[in-house]
Amino acid sequence: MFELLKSEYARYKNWSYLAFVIVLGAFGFIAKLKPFLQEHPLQTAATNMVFIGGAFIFGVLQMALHRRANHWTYLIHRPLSTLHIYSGLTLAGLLLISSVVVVPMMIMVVGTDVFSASVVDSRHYVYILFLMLTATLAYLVGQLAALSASKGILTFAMLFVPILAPRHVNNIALLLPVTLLIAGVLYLNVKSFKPDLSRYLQNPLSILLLAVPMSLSFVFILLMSTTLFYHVPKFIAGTHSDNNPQNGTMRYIWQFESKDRPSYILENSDHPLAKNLMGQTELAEATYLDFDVWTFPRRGQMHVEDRIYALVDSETNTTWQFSHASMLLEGRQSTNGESIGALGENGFVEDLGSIEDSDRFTQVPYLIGKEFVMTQETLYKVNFEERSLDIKFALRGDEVFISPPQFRKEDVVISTNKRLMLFAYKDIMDGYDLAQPDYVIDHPVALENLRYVFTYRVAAGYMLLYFGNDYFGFDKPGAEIILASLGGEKAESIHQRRFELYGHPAWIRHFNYLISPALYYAQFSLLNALEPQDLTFASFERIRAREYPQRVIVISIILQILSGLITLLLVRAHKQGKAHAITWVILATGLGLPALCSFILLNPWHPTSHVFSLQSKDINTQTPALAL
Amino acid sequence: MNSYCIETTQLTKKFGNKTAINSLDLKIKQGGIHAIVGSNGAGKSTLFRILLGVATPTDGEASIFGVNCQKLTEKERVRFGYVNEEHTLPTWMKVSALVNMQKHFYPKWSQETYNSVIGYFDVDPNQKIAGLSRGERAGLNLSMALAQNPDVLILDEPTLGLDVVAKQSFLEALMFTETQNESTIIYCSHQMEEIERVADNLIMLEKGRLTNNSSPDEFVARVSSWIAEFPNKPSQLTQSSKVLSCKKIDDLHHIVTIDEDANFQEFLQNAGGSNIRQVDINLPNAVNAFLTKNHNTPDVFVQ
Repeated sequence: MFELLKSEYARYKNWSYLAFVIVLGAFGFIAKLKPFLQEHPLQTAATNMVFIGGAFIFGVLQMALHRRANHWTYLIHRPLSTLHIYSGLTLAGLLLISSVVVVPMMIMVVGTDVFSASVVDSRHYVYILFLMLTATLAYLVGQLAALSASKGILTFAMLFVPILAPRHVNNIALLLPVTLLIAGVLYLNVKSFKPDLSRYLQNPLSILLLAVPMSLSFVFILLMSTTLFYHVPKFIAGTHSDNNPQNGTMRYIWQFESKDRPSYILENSDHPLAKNLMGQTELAEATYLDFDVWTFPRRGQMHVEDRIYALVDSETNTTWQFSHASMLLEGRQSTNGESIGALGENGFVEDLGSIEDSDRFTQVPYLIGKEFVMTQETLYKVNFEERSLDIKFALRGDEVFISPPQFRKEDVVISTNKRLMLFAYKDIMDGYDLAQPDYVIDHPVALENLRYVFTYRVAAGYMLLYFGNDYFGFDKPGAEIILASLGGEKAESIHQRRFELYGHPAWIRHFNYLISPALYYAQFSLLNALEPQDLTFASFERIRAREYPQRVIVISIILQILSGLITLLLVRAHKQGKAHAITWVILATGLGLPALCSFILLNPWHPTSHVFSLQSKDINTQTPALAL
Repeated sequence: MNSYCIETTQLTKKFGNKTAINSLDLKIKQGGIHAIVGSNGAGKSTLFRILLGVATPTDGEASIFGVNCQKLTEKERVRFGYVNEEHTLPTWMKVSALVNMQKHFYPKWSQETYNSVIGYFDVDPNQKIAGLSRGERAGLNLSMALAQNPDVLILDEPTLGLDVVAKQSFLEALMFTETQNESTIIYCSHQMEEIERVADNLIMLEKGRLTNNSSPDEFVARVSSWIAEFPNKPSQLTQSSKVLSCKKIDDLHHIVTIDEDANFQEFLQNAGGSNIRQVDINLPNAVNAFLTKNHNTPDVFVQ
């Protein structure tokens, strides 16, 4: 095995040296433009694309070059077990990948750690491990794509969604999924690396490991397919709700300009202020309010998840970077990197040796703009010249901020899990005194049901228009107008409107659930476990509480039974044994249509071609037999 | 003890609707050089791939040393060598590094055999394999395969694309080794003069079926060649399955038959032939006539 490893390493080593030089050169160039460890979306995207894409292509290429008929025979006929041959090739591949991924990144991080004043924490080294793990997974998936008899393995690209998309709640959520996926794909590769590559994997565990991720991918593929068989025909026919919205649907709101939307909601209102407000909003400026719930930073998160690298004060020429190790903002002179103390929850500390635990932040704060620091409960403003840290606004009890402040022309909007607060712009931006909100509006419905919010400046204060598909509960679209008066104690609901009509039929609205309830639960539960703060990843309890239309549930059950029956017929035709048949029938009955699609990709298209039949026509019947 | 090193029973391999090997019952004795011949698509390479365990039969079974080819372990694999027509080798390695690697894989490695065989070829140990000529690569491949001291050596068209000199060296090296140890060599080639020179046994495959498994002399003894004059086209000959070919050259009909006895002369006379005489036929011509007979052509007789 070691001899094979050496040979395989030698095959690509020159290419890996070249790639190493290019990557290190690119990193050096980036470090000239900005601090190397400062997050930049383009840099992160490019790094992922190069390392993950490169590792995937290398995996495909390495095995594709070996699997050519004569090369494969040459490789396999040696007196080594297939496990040893595969191990030799794969270890060589991983060595080559690490020389391109780990080594240049390690040089840069260690170099920054040793030769610069920038804060480098253990999380920066965790990022290198994460990069190597994702590249390893990509490499193994590439190998599997080349080794597998099924080309459907390309759908495994979806495996990277739970690895790259969420802002993981902790390092276990960050590293465990990718590690488990590596173990699973490695198992499949070992099983796929068999002398006859044209044979499909048939043992139950392999089928399970192949079918579940592939079925999850098919959920998205089937969802996208609605574009072809529903949306595009509707658009062509001119009956799609996007280009032909129906009065009485929520989609109809978008027909109107911002200033006219409240009138549509208020048209049947008998509230005494309704007509007056309709008149006012026609002249008012409407502003969209971003109501996304942000996942706050966590201690030890990867630096690529940081939103701001450091607070930089141009007046004092200082840079303040948050250290996850010390839980302090560590200050340095921007010119020479000389340490100038730290900034903790209780303010500035000149002497780093005198820091006590109470000085440290208990949460990793958001750094906002040039002078704001925000934890989930407190908004601070830093005075660099006076060296003071002042509380600008603080929450009490179980109320927490759900996103950083939104700075608008005249005001600053702060959202919490319970209410919306509007502050005068100057109250937040000028001075260091405690700020008080001018308007406080409690959320009219649960946070997860809020989708779109527009604000209108009216004479009495602010009028807010809320609407969304789930405003009155799951799949119960509606809208509400709320008036918040200046100095008023409580905002007043002016009118609610329910939309009884829907732009799309239930089977399209709930297509994701309909094609496979089990996978629907699985995908959301998984993403919710990885990033619980993101409300778009609904928890298991939230999904269970949803009431789907009866028709959708019935269609879903019929689809699952049909998928199971069709799979049963197909496995009988394939004649691959009981374990194979039982596994597939259980999968198709449990996971529905996506599992049936996976079955088609993970089994030969012509099952009878692998079963000898005496009745079949063969070419020898065309020639006269010689009497020998 | 089983005297057959390779056995197949009702071996069948299909690719979609095409049958590459059809109910093949083949037994190959240990020792000697067994030539496998057949036209393109006869199933030779497919048979080798099944024997090496890299292809799965659709039906039937193939075994080497009594072990099912689908269940070969490293213990069995160490007993056979394989050289293909492309002379697949790790082109990025140096000759010496490759030889060192091979030594680790094969405990019965004979450096003496390697040195003897490689001596027929001008191969520099410090040269990269990518820089070797096709003939040198063939020589290196053969040297390593023979140095493994395999019980069975499979050579799949090893001289394809080699020039006369390289081919000569290859065959000399092969024959040298054959006399030195007791390996069984399975030799596949389209070059009949090579077969004539090296083969102890002649196995012929046609469209996946076994059509001959005997010594070359026995095969040639079954084939006879006749020359006769016919006033008209001898259409009766077309109906005989024992007539392999009938070509008209300079007003004389050259007829090759198989398994015909002396009565065939009488048959030719009855068919209107005159000046009939039987002439000697060599192995290449006999094999070519045999293979041509079964080859798909619109007209069996070429005038």
